[in-house]
Amino acid sequence: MKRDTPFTLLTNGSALSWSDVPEWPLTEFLGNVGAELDRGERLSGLFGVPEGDALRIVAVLAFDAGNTLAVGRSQPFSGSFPALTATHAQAHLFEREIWEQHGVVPENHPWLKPVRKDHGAGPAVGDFFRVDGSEIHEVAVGPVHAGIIEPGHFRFQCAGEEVLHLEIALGFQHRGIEEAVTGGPHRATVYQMETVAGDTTIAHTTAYANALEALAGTEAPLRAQWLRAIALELERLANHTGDLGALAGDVAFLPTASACGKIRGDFLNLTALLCGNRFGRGLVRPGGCPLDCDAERLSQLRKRLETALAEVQQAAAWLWDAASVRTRFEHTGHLHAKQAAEIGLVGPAARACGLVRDVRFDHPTGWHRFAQVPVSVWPDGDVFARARVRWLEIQRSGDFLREQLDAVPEGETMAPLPALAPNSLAVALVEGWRGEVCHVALTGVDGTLRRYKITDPSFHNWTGLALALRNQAISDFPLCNKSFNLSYCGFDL
Amino acid sequence: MFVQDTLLNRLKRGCETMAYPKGAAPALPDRHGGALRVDAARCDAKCGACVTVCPTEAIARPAGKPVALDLGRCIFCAECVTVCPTKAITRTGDHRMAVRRREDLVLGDASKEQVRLAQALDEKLRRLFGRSLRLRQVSAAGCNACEADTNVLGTIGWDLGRFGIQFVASPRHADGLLITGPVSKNMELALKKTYAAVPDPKIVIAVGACAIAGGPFIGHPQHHNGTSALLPVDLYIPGCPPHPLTILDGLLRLLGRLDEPTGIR
Amino acid sequence: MMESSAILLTFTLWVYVAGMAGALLFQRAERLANAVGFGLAALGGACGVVFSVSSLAAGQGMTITPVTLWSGPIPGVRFVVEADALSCFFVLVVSLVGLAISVFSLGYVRTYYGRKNVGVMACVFNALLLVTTLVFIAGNLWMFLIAWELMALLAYGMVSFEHEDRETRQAGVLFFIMSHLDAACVLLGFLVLAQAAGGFSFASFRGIGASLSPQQRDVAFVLFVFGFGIKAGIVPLHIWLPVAHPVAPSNISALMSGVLIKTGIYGLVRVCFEFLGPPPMWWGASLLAVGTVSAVLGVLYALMEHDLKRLLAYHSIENIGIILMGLGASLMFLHTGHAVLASLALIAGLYHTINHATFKALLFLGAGAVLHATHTRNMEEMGGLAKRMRWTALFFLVGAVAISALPPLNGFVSEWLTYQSLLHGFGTTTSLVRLMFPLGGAMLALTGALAAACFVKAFGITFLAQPRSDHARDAHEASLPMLIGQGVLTAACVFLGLFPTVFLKLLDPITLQLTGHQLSQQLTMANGLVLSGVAAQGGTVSTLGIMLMFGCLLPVPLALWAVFARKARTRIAPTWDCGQRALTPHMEYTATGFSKPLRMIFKALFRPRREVQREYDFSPYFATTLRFESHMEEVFLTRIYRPVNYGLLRLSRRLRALQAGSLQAYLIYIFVTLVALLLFAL
Repeated sequence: MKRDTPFTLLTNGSALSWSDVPEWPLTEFLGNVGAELDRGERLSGLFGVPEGDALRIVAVLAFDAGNTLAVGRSQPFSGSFPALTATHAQAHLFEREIWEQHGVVPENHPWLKPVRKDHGAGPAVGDFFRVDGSEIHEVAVGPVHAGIIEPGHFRFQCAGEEVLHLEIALGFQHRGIEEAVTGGPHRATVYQMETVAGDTTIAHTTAYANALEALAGTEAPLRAQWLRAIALELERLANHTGDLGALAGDVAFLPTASACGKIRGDFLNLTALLCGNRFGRGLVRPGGCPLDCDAERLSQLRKRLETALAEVQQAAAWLWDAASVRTRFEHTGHLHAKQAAEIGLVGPAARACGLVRDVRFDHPTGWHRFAQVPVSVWPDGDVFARARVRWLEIQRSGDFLREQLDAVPEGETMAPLPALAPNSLAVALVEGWRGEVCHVALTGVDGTLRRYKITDPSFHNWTGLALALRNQAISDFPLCNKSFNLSYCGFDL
Repeated sequence: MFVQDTLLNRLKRGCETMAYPKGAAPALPDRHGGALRVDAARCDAKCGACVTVCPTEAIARPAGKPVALDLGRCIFCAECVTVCPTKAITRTGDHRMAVRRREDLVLGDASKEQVRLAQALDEKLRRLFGRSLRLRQVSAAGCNACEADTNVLGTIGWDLGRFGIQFVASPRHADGLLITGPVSKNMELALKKTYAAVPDPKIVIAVGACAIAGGPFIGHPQHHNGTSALLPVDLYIPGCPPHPLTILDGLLRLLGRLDEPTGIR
Repeated sequence: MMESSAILLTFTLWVYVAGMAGALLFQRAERLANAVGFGLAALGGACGVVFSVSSLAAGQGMTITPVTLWSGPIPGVRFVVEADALSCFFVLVVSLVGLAISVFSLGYVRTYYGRKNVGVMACVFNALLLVTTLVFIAGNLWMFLIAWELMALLAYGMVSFEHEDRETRQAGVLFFIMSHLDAACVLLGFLVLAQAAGGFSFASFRGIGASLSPQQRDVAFVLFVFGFGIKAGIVPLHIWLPVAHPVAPSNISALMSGVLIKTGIYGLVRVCFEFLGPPPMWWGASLLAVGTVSAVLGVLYALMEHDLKRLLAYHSIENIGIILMGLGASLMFLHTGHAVLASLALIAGLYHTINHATFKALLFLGAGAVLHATHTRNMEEMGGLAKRMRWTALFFLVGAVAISALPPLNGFVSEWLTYQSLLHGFGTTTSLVRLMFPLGGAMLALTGALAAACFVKAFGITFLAQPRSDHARDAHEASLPMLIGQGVLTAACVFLGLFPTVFLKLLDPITLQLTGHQLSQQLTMANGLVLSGVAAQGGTVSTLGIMLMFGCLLPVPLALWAVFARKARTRIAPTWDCGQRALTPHMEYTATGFSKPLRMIFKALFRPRREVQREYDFSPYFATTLRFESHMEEVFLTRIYRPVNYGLLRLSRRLRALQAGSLQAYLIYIFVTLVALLLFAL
């Protein structure tokens, strides 16, 4: 669909020269972004690029309907900028992040709080929002949570058992990845990309590889792209199975919980079959995939995949069959499609509200240009919908894998990566199992990475969890949290 | 109807818990590689290929000394194995890597070609924890992979509960901490408070390259490069992430629950 | 009455008078007025206790002789005093509670020094004790009604003690109106009796019901239930109680809840069991029904309160309901001819009366100590008091355990006896009425559970966790007299709980007189250690046994502690908080939050309304303020009292037409009335 836009369009996984990115004065730039958001487009990235003492803001928009991305940048400025959040809620975390990373103040930002910074004694400091009323009490949970889980702080404002407001404070896992990449890629960079979110290794590393390949003006060999797509779906299968098991565990439905716990391990072992590591470390590198898989290995993969898929089919059937499970799942943690669209939700959480958005479908790159996975959507927006979407995705990933393993492309899996083009911008989007992973790479004059922006899908979706808890019973919080299952470390970087 | 179905299914499948340690350990994935082995004798004095290629600077070749590979910093990317011309560094496929002392992870000296595996706890602690160990897991900026592989130990295949080891919700109920992640500055207070909340005597287990020495993020100013900066550690389990079998082996070794002798195979 | 007990009783009354005089005399010297006034009240209470216990213990040797206190110049007006077993029992109640409260007041009124006239308070307090005792020992209608009226007036005075506050003044006025409404009903009821008896003495009223027609008896019964019911605080006549009790000074609240509402019970027992003769079934059934409803509604409303004294006031309504359940069951048994069961039920009701007096007074005194220390009645501002007010917390805890009817304390004993009588009730009759017994039992069980929940909330929010306000943070322990006063009542609760078999002997003369049976022998087993239900299937319980069991088991953990704790190191560390910076009092449960689930379950009764206000500058996702309020509808006020009020006002407006203001109209009224009277006379 062609239409007029002042932004430069580019496809997923491609690069353009930095000077070709259109620039406008700050207010005009923000106005253009706002206009696109008003038309229903999505913000994939909004971040700052330092230019000496001043700052430029770069915007990456996803035109889902047009299957294209759009980029634009502001002219350098300093001091402050009018907040886009005042009119478009999906920009709120991006602007807070710009404030925190570069020091410029978004004016009229309705929720200007730090994103990841420590205040001498950890984040989650400072005034939390309080509800007025004599019967209100706070429940403060975290950072150390009751199970084996990453740290984060949740501040509930409750009237008895009902949650009126939830505020989420993260940043406990800030490891400084974006800062470390600057001047790279260094020796450790690709390993850090693998561990941005340790359970989303394939998605993040694929995005990184795609970005670097785009900057180098090349593509990975087709067989490597195929292998990456296989690994991505295996990662999705493992995590969705784990999620269904965890959701079942939260409503004390043990048959599915214990079965899925084991089956998840089986899916992880399938990834390990490909590269030796259960999470896919070492499978994807810029330039391709260093480890090839022969026919013997692939047929073993196929066989074990079938067994695991049959088992998860059975485990999930028990889950959907139990009335007690459905009572807990339905109408809990509800989000409307309108809210989801306004806050820019991505991934299964968005698809569970009825929004049709999936990077494999909207912005196909790599092997997804040749083979489609149907988008799994469910309209209700509650925990049941999110669980159901995961279930549909398991089935569709299973079908995709069977189809692809029956039609193996020939060729190399690894090609040497040429030098990165200087002064270029590349954008790579991948549909990780939580949603859209967005990597934006900007090279400097010498071809090294001047600025690298990582946006994990959790960056968009934590706001969704905070909204979904409003007017719910606090005892449903673990269930809602599990139904989103967001990454704390992906957010914290 | 799921009630009959689940019961029949359970009856059909029987016990799905692995026999280990009473039986053989399950095989590691064939490409996993397991622990590394350093044969310093094969090293060429002028070669430094492994040093330059290691992403976490885990390999050192100080002048006049043999090569030293610190498994605590190693993230098992196996670049050094690929690049070594003389096959001085090799993969053993052995899952056993847990140690009690940090220096036991540094390979390369004449007697330290492979890891000197963990001894059990001393008599007093073994009597307290040998049959019942409650651990509180603290993710101090871990990426969730070590956490996931620790979590999987609770599933029916591995069944950590049969050894009396359990992960508890409150540090007050715990005998020790199991820490993952490089210990970010943002988690420092929480980790210290958790440690203080565990009643004495207590143990600390560091799981994963991040918890031992900072992992792929080694040297970043946002964290403390591992647990040792803040707390005394009783058990180190290297890996990125360590395979569940490695973690289990380490825990059992700590409690003296494995029959085989420690040391080289 | 025997000589010595008569002397003792007279002495008690004169001590009260002396207390009144002394307090007024020394009103300028506050401390002296305090010491003299309340000291003499305590002395009077002690004497009253000795008198009543000795009289009841003397038991069968007691003869009832009315004594004319005073007969003045006006013919027919005499004040007669007659202390039979029932009177002695209630005198025990007032004296015991009065003693404890007097001691408490010695310390409590210090807070009024310099602000209000302590002498006047002490004087009125003594006067209240005096007239209440007179109500109980009144032997004829003059004495009774004058004492009743004085009690109402004095109580009104005390409720409005802190009249600077508008809320207090309004509460006082409501109390005044309701008291006069009840006095009017009681007077009318007695007039029905007096008309048949031809005189005003209670001696002549005994059994007068036989000479009344059934309709007259029914009318009298309804009037008495209304009148004494308002005083006792049964639903739906209770609305004054949760308004008046909280605003009075805490020692007065204790007296009102502990003693003054028992005058209503005394009146009902006296009238229904002695004067009105054999009761038809519906009397007992209606009392049982009213009692059940009061019990359940009382505790439900108590659960929703976050004002500590209002919560306790609603609990009084609940316990009055339980007492009435016992009395109603007793009347039903009298009708069906099961005199033994009637005695059992009556014993249950009376035992619960004294139990409620002791533990409710104890709780109010505790609330008074808390109020004294924190200057607020709102539980949402308290917290953390257990560390700052250890003894008060302990005494309050004992009171809470007692009121929740948990063994081995006294509430358990009287509710156990009530259950016994209800359980046996099913087999006593074949009509459908018998269904009321198990239903009543079930409702009693429900109230017990809800009462326990309510006191978990009351004790937990008030005393535990961290202080929620500066007032609570700065709280300090109560003074010694206050602690001793609470201690006396705690000891009474424990005694009444552990030694019911001893106490039951004191109730023998009452049941002998009212129902013709003495039950203490039947209810006692194993040399007084075990309380037993009356019939074979009644079961037995031994609170003393339970206590001994606790005592025997206690050495086990103590021994373990002594052996192992020596070797262990103790480290005191803050509560686990998930690794956060700090826990704040705002993170503690609120009283209203605690009871929210129950509020939702009983939505139909409470009709809660919630109001959420959200303000935002730019986007509804980022609110700048969020305000939450919830209210409950005051069902009785809006659906019964207000319509009645409006109806009455509308009627009066219509009648106002009669007051046309024209002289001619008034002359015609006089003329018409004169003609009517003449016709009537002819």
